[in-house]
Amino acid sequence: MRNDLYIKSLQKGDPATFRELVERYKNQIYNTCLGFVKNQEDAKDLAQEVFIEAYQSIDSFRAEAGLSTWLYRIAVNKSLEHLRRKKAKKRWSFLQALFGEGDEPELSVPDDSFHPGIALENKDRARLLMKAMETLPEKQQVAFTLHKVEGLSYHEIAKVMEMSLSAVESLMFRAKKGLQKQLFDYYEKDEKN
Amino acid sequence: MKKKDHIQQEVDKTMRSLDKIKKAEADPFFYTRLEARLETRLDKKRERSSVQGRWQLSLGWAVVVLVLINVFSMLSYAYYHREKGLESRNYYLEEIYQDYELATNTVYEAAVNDD
Repeated sequence: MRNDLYIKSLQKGDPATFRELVERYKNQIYNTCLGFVKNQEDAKDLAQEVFIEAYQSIDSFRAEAGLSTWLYRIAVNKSLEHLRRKKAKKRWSFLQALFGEGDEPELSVPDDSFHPGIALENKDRARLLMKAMETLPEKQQVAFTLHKVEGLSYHEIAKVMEMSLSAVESLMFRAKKGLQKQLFDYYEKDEKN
Repeated sequence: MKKKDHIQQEVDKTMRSLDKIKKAEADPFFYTRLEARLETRLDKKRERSSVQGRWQLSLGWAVVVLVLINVFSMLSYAYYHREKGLESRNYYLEEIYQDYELATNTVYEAAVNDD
């Protein structure tokens, strides 16, 4: 089906077309959300919310951006909202536990398996890296996650984030530098212990 | 120096740990669950619109009734005061007639006037 007819069909609420959209993009959206939230159940929920939002706001879809770019954008926004809510909850728990036990290491590694696509021999390193990614400024985290986890090119990331290619390159450069420093400090502390 | 090189090697290995990551796939029942969730969401929206619609209709009727009551009250007030006004006017006219003996009140007085 031609793209404009496809979009018109979605805007009319045609169930078969919507199903086709979901089947086509569900893996990409799920994988993207998983890359951000690092929890399979949360990622499933978020991915569903992405398609619900797409269904409800298809009328506002602008054809200049492709459907996949638009869906990625919704997925990124939903994932970031989820992470912000989680951080706010953590801050509150931290305040409650302020007079509790001693310092935790800066990069504590979670126990649960969070991404099934990582080879066994890389799991510990990948968990550590993903934990370090959480400490990056938001835009750097988005660019790095879309590139490393979802495999988008810098050009595709620029379309999703609505910025220039050079801006994405700059974000990636700073993200890598930030992560290397975090990891260096972690391994250095680890060696001393 | 050796220690720093070793740490840097670990950092580099960790930085590469996501390089060959395989993309995760959504489960086979993804669409079925999505459909159910969407249906629930749309049902809730329809219910909210219907309740909201009923409230709006009731509010609308309440406003109409209030306006009618007010109009009726204003008209009654105006009519009452108009009547009261006429009564007062007639009373004052009577007073003036009596003061200046302008009205012929009795047959005797009418006969006197004729003379």
